[in-house]
Amino acid sequence: MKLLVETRSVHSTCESAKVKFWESRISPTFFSGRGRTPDQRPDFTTAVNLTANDDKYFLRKAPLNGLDSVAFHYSVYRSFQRFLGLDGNLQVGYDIPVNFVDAWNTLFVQNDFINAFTGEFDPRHLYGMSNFDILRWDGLVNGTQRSTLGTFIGSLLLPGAPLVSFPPCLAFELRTDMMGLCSFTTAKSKASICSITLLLTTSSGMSLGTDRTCINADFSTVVRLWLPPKLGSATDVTTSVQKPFSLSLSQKSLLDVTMTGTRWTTSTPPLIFGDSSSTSLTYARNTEL
Amino acid sequence: MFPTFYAEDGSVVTDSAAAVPADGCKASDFDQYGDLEAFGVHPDWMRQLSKFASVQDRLREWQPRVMERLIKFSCIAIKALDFDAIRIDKATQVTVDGMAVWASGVRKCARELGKNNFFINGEVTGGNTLGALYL
Repeated sequence: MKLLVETRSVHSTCESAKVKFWESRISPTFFSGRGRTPDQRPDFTTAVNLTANDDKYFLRKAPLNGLDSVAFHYSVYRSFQRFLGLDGNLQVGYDIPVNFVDAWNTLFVQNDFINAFTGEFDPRHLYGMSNFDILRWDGLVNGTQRSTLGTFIGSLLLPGAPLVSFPPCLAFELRTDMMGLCSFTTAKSKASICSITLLLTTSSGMSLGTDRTCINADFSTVVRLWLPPKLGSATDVTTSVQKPFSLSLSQKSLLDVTMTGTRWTTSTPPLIFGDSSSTSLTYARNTEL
Repeated sequence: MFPTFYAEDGSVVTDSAAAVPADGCKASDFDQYGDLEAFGVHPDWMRQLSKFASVQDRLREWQPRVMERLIKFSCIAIKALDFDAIRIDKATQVTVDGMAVWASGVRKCARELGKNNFFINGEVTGGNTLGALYL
């Protein structure tokens, strides 16, 4: 197995970025975020008392700190998929165990969780059930409930930073009475436009029901007030704002994509038709997915 | 001259020069080692040398003159836009040492701006053993 090598090569002086080169150029911080190889792992008891001065448990010398944490923790998400009933090839090599307790115990000894600024133990992996480029659980049978259960584990069982996108977040709050966890809840109290009723219809005129929402004053967030009707087998849907109010097309798109896109089992927002003068927008289901 | 590469089991790749003939040193800031299938076929370290899915050129971030600019541009962006965190997409496509050097430089920049809680996270799709090298 070899890479294609460009035939037209340009020879010049060799430069190599030896780590030592950088050590003199980057001012010291706390000794953390420095990586760990398998033969540098402490045992659990040692990990509990680990400090940044225990150099033998780190790959790099201070101050060469790498990432603070993993964004959308795929290893944990793979476990969520298994735990919540998905089938398929859900494992990669040299990963953490599927069991969440064993998974955390493994992360605890294998990862450097020391905060690069404070030197404190500060696990900040983003565990989540929802992310832009993964499937939307609400589209599965009992999907909202599965999503909520995964969010529960990622938020309240695993030490880290919960990662919750908007609709699953609301569902999570409604089911667990954990009001305040989602940042969207704060937005709700600030909402300047509330009680917006949306009518959902297909192109053939069939009503799919109504939905309600709030929009934050700066349109940074959209807050859905209750779980909407299912779109079923509809191939297109028009959302109409019952009581017209002034919105730019982009604001309306944000609103409508949030309202409709999350209910469809697509990983990309539905196609949008409409203009800024209209109070309604129509979406077509993405048939490629 | 190649940077240090790591395999998915966390060990150092010792035969990178044999697997990827460097053909001498090259002057470009960009990797010029060609193209590879992007998902799951080739080891992560090898994908650090090639485009991702036939798009997105890689940079030779192990060269100081390249890394100096990456850090500088990141710092300019932080100063201009005042953001408090950066998420690195496909973080393991960056070499381990390159990520550490870049992140350290960005934290230094952030700290000088009074941002003492700057957050850098990265997408790690592989196993935890590989990801642990970056954390």
